[in-house]
Amino acid sequence: MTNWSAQFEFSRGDLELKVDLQGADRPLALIGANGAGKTTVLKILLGIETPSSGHFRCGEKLLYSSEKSICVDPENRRMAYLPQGCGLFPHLDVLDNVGFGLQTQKGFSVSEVKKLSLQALEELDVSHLKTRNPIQLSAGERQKVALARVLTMRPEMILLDEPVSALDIMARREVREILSEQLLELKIPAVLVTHDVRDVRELSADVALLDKGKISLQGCYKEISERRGDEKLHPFLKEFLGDFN
Amino acid sequence: MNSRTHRYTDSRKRIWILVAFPLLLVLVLPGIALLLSAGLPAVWTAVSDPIFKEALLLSLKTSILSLGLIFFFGIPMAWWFAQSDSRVARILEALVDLPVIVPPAVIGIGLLQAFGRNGIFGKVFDHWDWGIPFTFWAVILAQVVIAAPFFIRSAVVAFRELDQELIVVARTLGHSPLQILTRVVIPMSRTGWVGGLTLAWARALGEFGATLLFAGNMPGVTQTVPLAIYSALERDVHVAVALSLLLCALALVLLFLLRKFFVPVSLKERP
Repeated sequence: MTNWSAQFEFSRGDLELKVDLQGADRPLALIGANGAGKTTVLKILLGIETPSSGHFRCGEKLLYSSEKSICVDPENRRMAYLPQGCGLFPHLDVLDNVGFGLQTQKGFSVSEVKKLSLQALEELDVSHLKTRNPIQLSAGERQKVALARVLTMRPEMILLDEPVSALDIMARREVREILSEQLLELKIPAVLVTHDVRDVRELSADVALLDKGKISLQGCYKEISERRGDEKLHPFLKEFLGDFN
Repeated sequence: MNSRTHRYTDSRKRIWILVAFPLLLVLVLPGIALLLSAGLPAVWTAVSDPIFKEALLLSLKTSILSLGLIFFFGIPMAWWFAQSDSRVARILEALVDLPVIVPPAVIGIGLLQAFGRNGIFGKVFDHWDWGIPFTFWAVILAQVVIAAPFFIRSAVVAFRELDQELIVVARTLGHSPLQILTRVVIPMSRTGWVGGLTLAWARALGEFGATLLFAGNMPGVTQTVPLAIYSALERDVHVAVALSLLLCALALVLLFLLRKFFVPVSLKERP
């Protein structure tokens, strides 16, 4: 498992971030109120937004350092991103969507790209959808196809923005199980933005609370949930933990 | 809905039709008049006129070449306008629309002032013994300036409507900005920019004022179909009418083909 750490400052309009995050053998669930800047943190890690100062290291790779003037382009970071809406391209069929990331990697012929894409779809039991257009898929199917695309990429880190929020209860459970299995198998760092404590529990993730632009708490879910009765616990965390143990 | 409501909505619809009718009539009348006044013999005479063949060929050649140039340079420009937050981009975006507001004749004079023998750049071109005014390239330049804003405007709107998350995803999947433009942006916004390209093509094909002033009206060299119609009016009004009708027919056929082959069936309409 790769260790990663990110420490940066970012400012745009009313949003001011001063973030310090670390991760290792468990996915990290980034929680916080709407507008707290969770998605912006993901975009900074992806390299889409550039912080004013700080660093971001994933394993041995230094992806951003204001001190050393290093800023690796998003296309060269090998970080997979699964946005809220799955991010499937409506002008491509499912198979081409899955192979989209492989097309840019050297050493893959067209037939190899197709073969690997089909393998990834088979792994998630959605190979029968290969000729369909993403628009024709259910939300759960779309999420599985997007996951298949992530798998073919063999990324060094996965960033997920509310991956199950658009799904119904049954599909949520199924996608959580798949995510949990895949993250365990891939053994790569993952950051997950969520509003649902079940995502944290199912993925055995650590929790980081983003509040007023800062990480006010980061720790293991079990430890945090044990502090539920603690009056000093942040009100958002109390609400987030809800009735779940 | 009860019968009273039905009567109410029907009468309201009639009011709209009644108000719209005069404008509709004015819009449709020239086409109908052309159809009625041009007899088959006149059309045949116009078609067999060598000037028409030359003008038609020149119109097709120049407008297609102009369209290629507008597309090649217009796509990156529209993408920049759509993506940039800079004030410079906003000012230039407004300036690009200028040829839509300004009369074509003014554009023609402007082009002469820029590229004419005594113009700003004319002296430079003259030094290399390469004069643009009153040549084939003057027709192209006039068409590009007049037609490009229609394409750029549509492309900017289409690009701005794209889901930005997809651009982010494409980048994380290893695609460079140029690959994203060609593999994601252009195909995904095709319906929008093809509409603009169609408008630009129609505008280039019908270009008259700027071409007349900047390129002249020389048969076989700079005389496009609109200019040939203008010349034919002085000789034989029937030939001018027939030429106009043929230009209308040609525009309709090409617009139909462009939309049929380049605009996909809406993805939402797929089974």
